[in-house]
Amino acid sequence: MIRSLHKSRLGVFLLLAVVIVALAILRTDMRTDIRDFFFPGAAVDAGFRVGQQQAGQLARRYIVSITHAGADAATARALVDSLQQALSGHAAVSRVWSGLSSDVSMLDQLQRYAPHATQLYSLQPQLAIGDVFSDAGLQARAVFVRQALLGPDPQRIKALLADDPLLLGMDVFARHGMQTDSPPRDPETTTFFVETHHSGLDTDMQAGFQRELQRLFTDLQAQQGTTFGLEYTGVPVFSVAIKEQVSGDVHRIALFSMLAIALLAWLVFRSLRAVLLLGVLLLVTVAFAASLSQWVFGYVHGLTLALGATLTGVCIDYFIHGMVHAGSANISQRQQAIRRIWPALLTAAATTLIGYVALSLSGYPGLQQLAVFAVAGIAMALLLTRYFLADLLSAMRVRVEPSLDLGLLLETAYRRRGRVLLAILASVVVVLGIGRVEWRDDMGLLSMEMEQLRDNDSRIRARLSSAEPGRFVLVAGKDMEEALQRGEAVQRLLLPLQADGKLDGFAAVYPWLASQRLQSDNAAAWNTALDDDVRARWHQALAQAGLNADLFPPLSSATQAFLSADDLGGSALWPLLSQQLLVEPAQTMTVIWLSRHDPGALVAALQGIAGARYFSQKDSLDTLSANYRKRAVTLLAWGIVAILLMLAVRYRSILPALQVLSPALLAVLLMLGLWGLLAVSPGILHLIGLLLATAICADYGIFFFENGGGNLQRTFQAISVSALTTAVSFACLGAADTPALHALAWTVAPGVLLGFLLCPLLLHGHNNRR
Amino acid sequence: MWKIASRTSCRAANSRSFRLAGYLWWLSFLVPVSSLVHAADETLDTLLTRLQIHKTQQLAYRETRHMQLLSEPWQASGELFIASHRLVIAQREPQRSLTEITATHLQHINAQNEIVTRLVLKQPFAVPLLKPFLMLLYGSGGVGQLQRVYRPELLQDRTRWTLRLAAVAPTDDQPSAMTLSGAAGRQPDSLVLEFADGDFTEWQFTPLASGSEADAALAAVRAPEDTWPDE
Repeated sequence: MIRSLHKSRLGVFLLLAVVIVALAILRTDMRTDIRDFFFPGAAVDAGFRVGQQQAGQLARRYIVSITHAGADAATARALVDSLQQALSGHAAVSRVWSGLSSDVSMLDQLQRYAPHATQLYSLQPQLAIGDVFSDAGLQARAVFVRQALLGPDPQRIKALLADDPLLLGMDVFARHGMQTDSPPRDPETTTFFVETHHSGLDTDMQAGFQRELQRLFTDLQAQQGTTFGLEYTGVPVFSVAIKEQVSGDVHRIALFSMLAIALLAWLVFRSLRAVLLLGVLLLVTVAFAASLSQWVFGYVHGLTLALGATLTGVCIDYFIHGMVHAGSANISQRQQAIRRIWPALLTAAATTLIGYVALSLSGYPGLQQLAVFAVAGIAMALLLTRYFLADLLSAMRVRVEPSLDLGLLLETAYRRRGRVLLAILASVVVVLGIGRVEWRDDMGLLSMEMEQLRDNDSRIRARLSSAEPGRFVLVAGKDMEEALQRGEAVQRLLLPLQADGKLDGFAAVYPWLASQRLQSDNAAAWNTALDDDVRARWHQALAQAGLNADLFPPLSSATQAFLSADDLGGSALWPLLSQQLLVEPAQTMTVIWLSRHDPGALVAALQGIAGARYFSQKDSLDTLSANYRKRAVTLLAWGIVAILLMLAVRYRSILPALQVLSPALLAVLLMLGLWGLLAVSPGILHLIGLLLATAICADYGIFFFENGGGNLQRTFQAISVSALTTAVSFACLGAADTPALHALAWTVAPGVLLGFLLCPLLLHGHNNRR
Repeated sequence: MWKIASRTSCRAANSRSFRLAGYLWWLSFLVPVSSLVHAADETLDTLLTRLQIHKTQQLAYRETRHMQLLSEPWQASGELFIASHRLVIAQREPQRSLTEITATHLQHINAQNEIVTRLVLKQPFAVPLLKPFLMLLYGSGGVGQLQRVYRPELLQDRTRWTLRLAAVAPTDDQPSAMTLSGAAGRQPDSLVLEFADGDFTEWQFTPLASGSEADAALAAVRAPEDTWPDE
């Protein structure tokens, strides 16, 4: 009867294990962009939406740079043209271009704007019209008209002259339009842009495209028989590198921690079957947690997987505790042994879950996913321990008799003198250190260190004068007219900054679109100043410039038909312009893209303009991170109070609850004190690490305090094995390239060891009394 | 005897000289005849094939724009480079400027080294001002493609060939007609582009170099403020 029950449970376990692991392998969609982990899905700040939109578009772009220092210009041009043509025809590529200005051919657009040139001419109409209609101004315009007629497209200029006799449109766009993205001419390099159809974060596709780009270049270079240099950068380059690093981390950590835990488990248990059983249980636990997170969120972030996998450090405690207590008992008594420790396991799991749920309320999408992952993993570990572990031990004929015995610590290490010394030392560390802790909220510090890629990126971008991603001016108004007027006010302030060298360039909505007020002011200034004298002087200026003045159209009054956003919809310009106009029911916003700039000067200049603000995605994210961290600290404190209350209910007194938690709390305080003394600046991931350490150490406290098996030596043995395996598995995170995982490694591993060592120190008296 | 012999050899030498002169005289007739035969054999197909760019050519040019809006015709001169992937107009007079045309773009850099015009070409080398000329140089569709856009007419006499193209559907922004001509069997030395409004532009070409020599000269061409060929 018992044997058949074993078999049926074993069958259920095997079926469950295969299904869960298969689901995790086949269905998990792993993402690696750190913004998905930290960035709020429904951001309240419009700046984030603009930034995300900009980032999404920029994320699909490559900046390709061909260096041809040793080749002649013709050969270099031939190679670049051939490469551009080959890329244009590539299925993955949506477009190839050599600068923003080539997105929209200027002359194509001028015809549309010619009838509105007088309405759009200047941000300061009164001043400008005086200059234009002065003798010198008219003579300069006449010379400009002649030069334009003698340029490479005179027919188009003749067509423009009918509506815009002074060619003011050409002048205004030359002064204000498209300043930010045109590659400078460098005789030794040619730089161009390539945009792919797929997201920059579609790493498999982007990695394939990068190989294809390299192959096309190598083939063309071989045809030319000359050596060129190919460099490219962009978000896809980084995302592929990050994916490779994260994958490398996952594989390396998995391998190291598996080997370390297996070796440790074998050294402790001297049983390969015990090691195998532990491995299978952990695999099923992590696979279930990943599958449930995938089901809830639609994806699993790589960081969740890495952080979540460290939950094995928590889950393994339940298995080891169960194995040590049940594994040494007779087969018939194994279920009973598990039942005896079950309340302690349940209490321990509940305290851990309270911590994670508290942390998930901080608002980080990544932490919410981590909470789901943790709940699922811990629940599965508990179920496996309670309902399958005893049978699996029997079925696999595992007998556990740990060779590790740290009982000596119980007896000798904590004599009165030693305890006093340790208490003084701990107090000094806590008192001196905690006040010195400086939290950091710079998300960039959590990013990968990719020095070579960053150098390459800086070098290529230095050849461009492009809009800086993630930093722009956002101008809001209650409607389109107000937003445009305020945007124009900002532009009037940016021009002096540009002249002072504090801003390389910017791209705003004006002159492509202007407020009705500015158009009206321009038209009024024109009509007021235009008279027969101006017409006569214009005629004379044309003649002086060698033009047949009689054949030119006369200067006429500006029309009152103003240009609106609706007039531009559907034009070639609209896809660009629409990225700078955000129309919402309650407000309209315009965006001004910025080239390299001095943020301080910009912020100072914007003060006093209603609705205008400088937005830096990085600074805002850091502020957001600081807010999250503060909220997370508060919530953690409340979580600890909740754990305390729960334990107080269980032990029917607050004192034993405090005593159980004391090793964990003191370990946390010691870690904070040590960080302060060692000048380590902790961030949000250190906080998560502290939570993990607290959860794990609280478990040790509960196991030690409750001593479910009734054998303190055996319980301490189980905790010792758990603490060692946990510390080793977290220390393995230190082998990762990701700084975020380093933070976790060097928080949890020492925290757990401290908590473990403090258990007998703080709880020993209680067990002696019992 | 010696004198006789000497006179005889002198006579023989004179006779050989006369014979050589005679050959050269006859040859001088044969060269134009061969050109004539060549020119007479020229068809639109062979002319189009011959005009295609096989190696870089460097030409001196003189451009004259006849525009009604100008009080008098405007003249410019400089060097024209016709390479397989691009055409470069390096203007020297009256001001320096550089116009570069590739399959995808036209870029015009003025004397102050500013990019004053940048056109995105919807079709390869489809620069409005020079469209029919560039179509002959860089188009690969042969007579069939040409006839879809222009009505071609090839005229030849003993010394010159003349190709006239008239636009099938004239537009304001492109030449309505083009006349390209050259010495028989040679590359063109004259180009006239006419527009529907009566304006027209004349170009005169003089070959300077071709092949690697022209490539080297083209490689030395830089923006107006920088080094120019032979400077």
